Amino acid sequence: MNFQIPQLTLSFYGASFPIILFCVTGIVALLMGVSKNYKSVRASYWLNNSVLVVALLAIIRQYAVTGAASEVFLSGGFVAGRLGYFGQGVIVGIALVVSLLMGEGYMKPKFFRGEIIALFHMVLAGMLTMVATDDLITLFVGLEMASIGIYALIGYVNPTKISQEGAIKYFVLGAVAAAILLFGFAFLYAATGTLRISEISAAVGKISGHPWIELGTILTITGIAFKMALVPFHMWAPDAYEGAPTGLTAFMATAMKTMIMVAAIRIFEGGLDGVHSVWVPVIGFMAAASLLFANIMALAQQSMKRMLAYSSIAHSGYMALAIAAMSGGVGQYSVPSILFYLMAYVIVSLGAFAVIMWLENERCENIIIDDMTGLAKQHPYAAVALAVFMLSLGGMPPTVGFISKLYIFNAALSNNLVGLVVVAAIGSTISLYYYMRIIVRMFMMDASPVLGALIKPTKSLVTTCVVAASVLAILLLGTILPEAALRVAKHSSGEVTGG
Amino acid sequence: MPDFSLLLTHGIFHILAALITVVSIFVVASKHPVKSAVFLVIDLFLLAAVYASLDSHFVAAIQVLVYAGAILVLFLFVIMLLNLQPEQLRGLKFSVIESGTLLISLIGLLIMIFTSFRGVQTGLGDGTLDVQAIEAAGGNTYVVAIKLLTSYIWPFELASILILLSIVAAIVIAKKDKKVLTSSPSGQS
Repeated sequence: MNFQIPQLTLSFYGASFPIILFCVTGIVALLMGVSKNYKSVRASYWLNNSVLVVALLAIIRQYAVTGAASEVFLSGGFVAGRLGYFGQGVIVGIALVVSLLMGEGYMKPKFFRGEIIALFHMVLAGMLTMVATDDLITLFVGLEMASIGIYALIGYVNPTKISQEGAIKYFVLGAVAAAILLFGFAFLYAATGTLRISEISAAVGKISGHPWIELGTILTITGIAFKMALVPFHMWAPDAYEGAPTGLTAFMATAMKTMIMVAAIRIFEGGLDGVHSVWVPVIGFMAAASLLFANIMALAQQSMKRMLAYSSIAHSGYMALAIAAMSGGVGQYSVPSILFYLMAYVIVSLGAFAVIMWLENERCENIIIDDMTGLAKQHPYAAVALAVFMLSLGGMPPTVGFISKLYIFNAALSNNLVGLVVVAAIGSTISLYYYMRIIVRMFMMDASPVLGALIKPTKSLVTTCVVAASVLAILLLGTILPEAALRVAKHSSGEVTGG
Repeated sequence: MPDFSLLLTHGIFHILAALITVVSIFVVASKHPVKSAVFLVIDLFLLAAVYASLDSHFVAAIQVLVYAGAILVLFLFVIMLLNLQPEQLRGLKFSVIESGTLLISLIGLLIMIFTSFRGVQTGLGDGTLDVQAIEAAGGNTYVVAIKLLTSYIWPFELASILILLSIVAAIVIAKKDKKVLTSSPSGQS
């Protein structure tokens, strides 16, 4: 009868407050959805947004008070460290922006329903769990919470044939990927005898030649690459991104990516660094394939969302390049570069998706690139903002897209991955064509009356604020503030790089 | 003289493994969904037997109760509700490229597994939870319960939210909306 009762101290509740809050509000929202008095759109809207603000403030406070050393609770289940809080803050910030944008357009009554908000909050709880854990089982539970909720949200928020096709594809492939990931974790456990990422890191050094470690590593990479949507595991992404309501597409493209990138940093830098000779070639190959294939496929797309989906695959490729570069104990360059790239990508994507959401309406749910023709004449500010976002996604100075790519390339070169950097530069050049195509259509062509007829956006203060804030952030981070943002990224990455 | 009990354990394992492989092939190969489900029940029972032969009686019992008992019954219910006919399931045809890719992937997987398992030393873990230690600590169920409610309390509690989430997601998808499946008006891709 000698066992340790888990220490549920006040500091644990303080540290894990956002996760517990989202679990509770998920259930509350569910009950509100079936209650008589609180099932209105308005009630869900206020519950959702106020909870997100509270959680964001709590996370910022925790980030500020957390020291360089992370605190481990419940034998590794929950880790209160800066990297985790960084990921949580980005995810909850994205959720807040997406909710506000959802509240503006025609999707408002569809999104702010009790059951949808319940799913949304449980998804958030899963995401926050996944970025702040040292335990592979908890990581998997968090991943499944995030994934299962997203499958349902894609198919249900706005049920059309396209969205249900995307949801089914994502679900079937995602379930297989989850099984592969779990298989990989099982092999890592069988080889090392532990499920803690930090203990695996210690054990890997002693038995580095063991085939089970290698097999487990390969299977883990496969599962994670699927969630990152790296080529050749990207097949679900265009359909799921196109089928989902645009706000949810923005959420998937940014929050899911943040979650999986932080988890990948933990697993590869914090756990499997000892066997980097196994995973660097695999991730390097997938990064190169993503950069070339996704950028070439994006050239042929007609739908804006599909194009941004391929663009998102390509951006995963850049981040995978930096993951490959953090092997062999030189994570002090590449982990901050990934976090900086994430910040840049999140800001740019949210801005671009905000413009697209603003242009959409009930009758025109899937904006195609031809719809953009002549936008500069009708809505000059929106066109200028979208042009800035496209230039930033393409990596042109003086936007943040250029600086973030520079940091990634710098990290890769410091680890002698010259070939991959060349491939990335080629992919980046290809990508300019399809980003520029939109700018050309917006500014240099006249609108045909048939095509643009469906787009009649109304004025929206929230959208204006979000778009203006992202344009400002893109230009500021690209010119005078990149050092400050990089300091934040370095500060956050200290948890795994030990700096 | 060889260790007889060890030989017996190995023999039982190999027989069970061969049976499981054969039955699993039947699961995916049989045309009738109910037959597939029944083969899956047999498969899961055999798997429970493997667990039992490894002295993991708790996992064996759970395997029978949860998988063979509860989940398979649900499977049969779903098959019954959907009323799947054997001929409806025959539409799957592979082109040359697809079957070639499948074949190459399968061979690659087999090579990977064979090289991984050849001459591997097992039991690299900390050794605190081998069979004798578990018996000394109070048996399978006791050890699992302690681990579940101390070391793994956080994922254990979160799993309850995960299950709630799955239930809500399933109900939400199954619920019939009146305006479901109107295809998008600007239906381009």
